[in-house]
Amino acid sequence: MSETNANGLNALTDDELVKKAQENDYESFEELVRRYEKKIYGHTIRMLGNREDAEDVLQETFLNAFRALGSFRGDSSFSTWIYRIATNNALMKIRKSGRTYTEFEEDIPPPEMMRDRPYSWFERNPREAFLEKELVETLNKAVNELPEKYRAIFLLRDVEGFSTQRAAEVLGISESAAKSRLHRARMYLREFLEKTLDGKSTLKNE
Amino acid sequence: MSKVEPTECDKFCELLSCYLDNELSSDNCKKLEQHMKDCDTCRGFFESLELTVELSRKIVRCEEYEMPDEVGQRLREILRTRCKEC
Repeated sequence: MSETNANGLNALTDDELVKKAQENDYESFEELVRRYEKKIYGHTIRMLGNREDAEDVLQETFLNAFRALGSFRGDSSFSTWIYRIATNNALMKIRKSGRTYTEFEEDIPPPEMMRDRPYSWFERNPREAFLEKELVETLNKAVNELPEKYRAIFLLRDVEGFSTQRAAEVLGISESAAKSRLHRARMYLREFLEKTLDGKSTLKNE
Repeated sequence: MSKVEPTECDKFCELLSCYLDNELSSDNCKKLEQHMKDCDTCRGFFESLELTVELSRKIVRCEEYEMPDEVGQRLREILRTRCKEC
């Protein structure tokens, strides 16, 4: 049994816990931490690619949330709010680390060029064969190669399963910008898979 | 088979993600579906994009990204100390 069962906090909604936490009930804040720590850690490790940075950002996120709790008005859900803090912290961590990514809008061939290429890799490989070690590594690498703003929208929409509206809210961008970025991210991943698994990758290998 | 102007394929290509997410208007949806019936290349391209998304969802969710219990314990211990200082 988790210790939260004893105090009944796990039966409360996020909104109820936020309200109690705003009234200085630390146990309620900790229940919110327990509720979201695994999700936020998963999101930050996918954003950052390593455990140490993910743990730092996890701690910063909940500390920032605690400090800002008084100004949280509930315009968005607590869940959206905590993801926004975590995503911003992860983006800041990436920028501070000096990791840079090629902006790939220009690097993706325009559709009319891709249109004429055969989709040999996708046609040759049955879906059953996909869950192989090589594929897992390739996709993880592809996601890590995505420039951060594209990685963020891809992770929120396709991994966390957020709606476009909610993902846009987390990122502080319009829904049309979110749709456009998501499309670019998916196109990049598709391209990466095809090039890498066809042995024709033009991306740098370290 | 009908030959489609590149610009039309470009335009439809931009709609593929929205189509995949059921976020296209019914009018655009019908136009895109009709186009994919006529254009093998765009249909093949859509299938490869759909498969990429399907695979990415499965693989990026792997257990490598699960939070170890000790990370959660450390987090709550640190917060208890740091939040008192706030």
